Amino acid sequence: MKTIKNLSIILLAVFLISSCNQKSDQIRIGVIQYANQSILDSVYVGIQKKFNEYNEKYTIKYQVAHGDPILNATISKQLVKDSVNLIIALGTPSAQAVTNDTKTIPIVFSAITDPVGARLAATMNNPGGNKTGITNMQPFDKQIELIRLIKPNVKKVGIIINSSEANCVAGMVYVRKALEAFQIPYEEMNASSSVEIITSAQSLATRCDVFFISPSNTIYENLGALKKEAEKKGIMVLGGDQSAVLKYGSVGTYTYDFVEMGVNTAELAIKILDQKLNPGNIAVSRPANTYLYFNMESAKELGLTVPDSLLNKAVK
Amino acid sequence: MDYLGIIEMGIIFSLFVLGMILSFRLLGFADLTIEGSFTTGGAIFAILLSNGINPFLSILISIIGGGVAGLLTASLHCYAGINKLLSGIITLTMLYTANLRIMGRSNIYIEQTSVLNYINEPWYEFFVLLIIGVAIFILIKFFLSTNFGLYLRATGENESFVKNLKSNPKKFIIVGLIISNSLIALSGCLFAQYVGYSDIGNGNGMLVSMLTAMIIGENIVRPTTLNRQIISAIIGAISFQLLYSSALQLGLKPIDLKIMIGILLIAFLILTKYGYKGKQSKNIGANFI
Repeated sequence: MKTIKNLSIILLAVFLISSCNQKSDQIRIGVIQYANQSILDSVYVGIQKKFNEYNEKYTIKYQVAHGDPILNATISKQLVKDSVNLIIALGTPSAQAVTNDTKTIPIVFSAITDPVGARLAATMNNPGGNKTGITNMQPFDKQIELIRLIKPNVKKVGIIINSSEANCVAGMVYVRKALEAFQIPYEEMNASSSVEIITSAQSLATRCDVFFISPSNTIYENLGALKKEAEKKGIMVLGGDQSAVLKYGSVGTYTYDFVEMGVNTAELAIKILDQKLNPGNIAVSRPANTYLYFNMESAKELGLTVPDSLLNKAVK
Repeated sequence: MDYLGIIEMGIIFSLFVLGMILSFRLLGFADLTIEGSFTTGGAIFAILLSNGINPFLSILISIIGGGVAGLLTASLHCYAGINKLLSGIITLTMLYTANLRIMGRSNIYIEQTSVLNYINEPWYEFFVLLIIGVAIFILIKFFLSTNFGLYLRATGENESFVKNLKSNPKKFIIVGLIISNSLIALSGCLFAQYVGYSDIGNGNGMLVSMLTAMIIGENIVRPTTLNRQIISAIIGAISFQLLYSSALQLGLKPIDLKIMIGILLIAFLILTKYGYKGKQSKNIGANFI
């Protein structure tokens, strides 16, 4: 009897909850985000900003999976079941889950470093299926060029990577290509936790005079520690995103504005909905603008002089 | 609400819970390997399938992969004399590298047709999962009802009793953990197929989530007999998924979900303690959670 009683209490609760559903005739956009990571959060700010311009025409259902695979799958299934008009997916696992769950609802993914490697797009020009989006593969060639411009006599660049992150592995292909093009010697070290990052940084510090920030989330979470190790030996840290320069003392970088990337994402979504386009035929794009940032304090500490021609181009 | 989806996910997770019941409940072995073997199941399946191996064979190999992980944990405990919790942690740590090496990267998207999406219809997926689920549950039920299974269950409740019967409890711990981790690898492999990708983070937080499911199940179906214990796995997993989905449907922010699960767990634990006062001793299995 107890069994039946307990079971019925749960079922009753569930039915009460599910009957609270409301429907409206606005255009419904589902946004699924894999984790609360600074880049993804900024992209969402941009998305929200764009949709808010069309007051009340669109309603956004925004869900974050907090890196939980069950939650990610549940949110994805629910967005599809609710048959929203379009799904925006931020973060690779979320984009993959949605792509797997629906072949009909248009999908716009954003902030995906390597859409082809993650099988979200067949090719960059022709993603195929019901999906397209925006990649945030950073302008690594420009970042590496900065090393040459700021420190022409660079000896060796040390890079800490995390080979368990698909984004990092994909990005490093471009980093290596750029380093080789500019004929800069480099050394890579693998680290998958904050402790390992400190050990690797200490080891690299004995042989290198520049640290380049690789596109790994683990590194981004531990930029403070990396900077500390670099300061001890007077090593220049370069690259990364905007906050790496402004908050964590990276000397300079070229990067995208992620809020702007969010706006671009929303614009792409609106274009698909308004013109009833087939997302599979729209090429995966990069954000149009790159911005140059400098941290003059860091440069002064290291006794570096930044050429005026560069400073004039910088945003900050 | 997507009731079919909830039941489907429930079936996938019920295999996980069943594996957990085997180690946590019946063997009294708090095996932390399971978070790793869940990922291993998906990883082996994804890499084999993307290399053109037959889906059924891929599933079989991923189950074996989970079993090997279980064997390692059990051997560490039984032969190296390492503490139960610690041997699980050691295997779990090593599995992280192993899983990355297996996949060669951190994330694989499964685009090939496999067992679950052979026919692209919702009912087909449900049907296949149902058959797999029922078959596994019947298999485990029969296994645990054999003489060997009986000894295995006794190992968790009273190890010295098994020793008195001139049997070696190590044998049962090893076989038990192999089966438990194989089940969890199967669950991971089905989950990877179901969501369409295998990611190194697929096991994140699984232990706590499934522990919740197990306890919810045991509170709804009181596990006084073996049959009830096994059924509690299904009920628990489906109820857990139902609560998860309905909380989201209600408009609860996912960020608040974890605290809701915590509160729910507290409520259920208190219910166990006071709601069934006096009948406590009837539950089968080790009672350390």
